Amino acid sequence: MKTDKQIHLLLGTGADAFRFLTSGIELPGPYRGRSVAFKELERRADRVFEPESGEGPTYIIEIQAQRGGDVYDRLVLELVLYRKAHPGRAVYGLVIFLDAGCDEPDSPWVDSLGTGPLLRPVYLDAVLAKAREREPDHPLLAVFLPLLVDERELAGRAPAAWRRLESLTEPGSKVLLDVFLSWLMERHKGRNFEEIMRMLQVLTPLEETVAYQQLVGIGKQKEAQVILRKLLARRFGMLPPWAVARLEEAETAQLEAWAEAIFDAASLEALLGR
Amino acid sequence: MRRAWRRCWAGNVELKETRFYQEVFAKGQREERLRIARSLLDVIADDRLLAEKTGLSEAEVQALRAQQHSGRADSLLR
Repeated sequence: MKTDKQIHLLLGTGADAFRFLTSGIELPGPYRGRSVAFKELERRADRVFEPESGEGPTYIIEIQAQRGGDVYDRLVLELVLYRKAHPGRAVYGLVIFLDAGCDEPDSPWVDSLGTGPLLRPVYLDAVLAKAREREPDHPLLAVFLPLLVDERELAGRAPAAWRRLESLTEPGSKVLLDVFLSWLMERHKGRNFEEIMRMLQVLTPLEETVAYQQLVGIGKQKEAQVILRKLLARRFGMLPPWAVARLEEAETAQLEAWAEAIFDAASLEALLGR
Repeated sequence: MRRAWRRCWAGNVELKETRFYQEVFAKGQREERLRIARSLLDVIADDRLLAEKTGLSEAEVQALRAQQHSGRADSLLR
C-alpha cells in the first residue's frame, strides 16, 4: 500500500494535522506543502576518502579557511548524495577549519555534530598546537612552519624543516616537500629561487631540485603551446576549438613533435590526429 | 602571523606571483623557445619569421644558425 502521497496530503491540510503527524511540531503560521525538484544537485565535495578495500567507512572532508556560512549545509548535502549513490556504506562528514573563528556555530546542524554521520569539526591551529607538545618531530609540523612563525624564526628554522622533509622516504613524502616549498615561496614573494635555496642551505645544485625541474617543465610546456599556436595559425588558419583543446592537453614532447612535423602535414586533422 | 596564515590558505597569495616561480618559469620558456627554434632552422629559412613565431630575437636565431653550421662543420671534420 502506498502511503507517502496520502500522508503528504494530510500534512498539507493544516497546522493541526501537521502537529499530529509529526508528533508535536507546531507550525507558527500558514504553510504550503509542495513538491520540489532539486535540479542543481550535482555537487563536488572537496575530498572523499574511500577505503581501497571497500571495508571501513568513507569520509567526506571539507576544508574551510574562512567563514562561509553554509559549510555544514554543503556537507550534509554531500553526505545525503553519497549515501544515495552508495547505499549500505558507512559515511562520515568532517569539516576541518583553519581555526575556531572560521566555524559556523549558528548552523542548524551544530547540535548534530558528533552524534551521527556529521563528525565534530577539527580546528587546525589547535591540532598543530597539540602536535607541538605531543609529536614535535612530526613532519607535518615542518610543512606548516612557513605559516606559523615570523620571518626571522622562519629563516632560522626553515633549513632544518627542509632537511627533515627531504629525508623522508615514505611514498607521497614529496608532496610534503612541495607544499612546504610553495608556502615558503608565498611567504617570501620577493625572493628569487637562489635566495630561497640559500635560505634553506640546500647543497643540491638548483637545477637538480624537484621544485626547480617541475617549474621549468611548466614553463616549457606553456611556451611550446604558445609557439605551436602561432605556427599552426600561420599554416592552417584560425584554430578550431577541438585543436585548441588538444594543444592544452598535450605534454611538451608531443607539442615539440607536432611543431617539427607541421610543414609536412597536409591538414590540421592529420597533424593532431583527430 | 594569523594574517599570513589566512592569506595563504584563502589563496589570496598566488604562487605564480612569486619571484621564484616567475624566474624559473621564464627559464623553462626560454629553453623551449630555443629548442623549437633549433628544430625549425631547416624548415623556416626566414630568420625574421622564425624569430617572430618562436619569440626569439633575430640575432638569437642567427646565432642558432651559426651554431648549427659550425656543428655540421665539426661533424664533417670528425
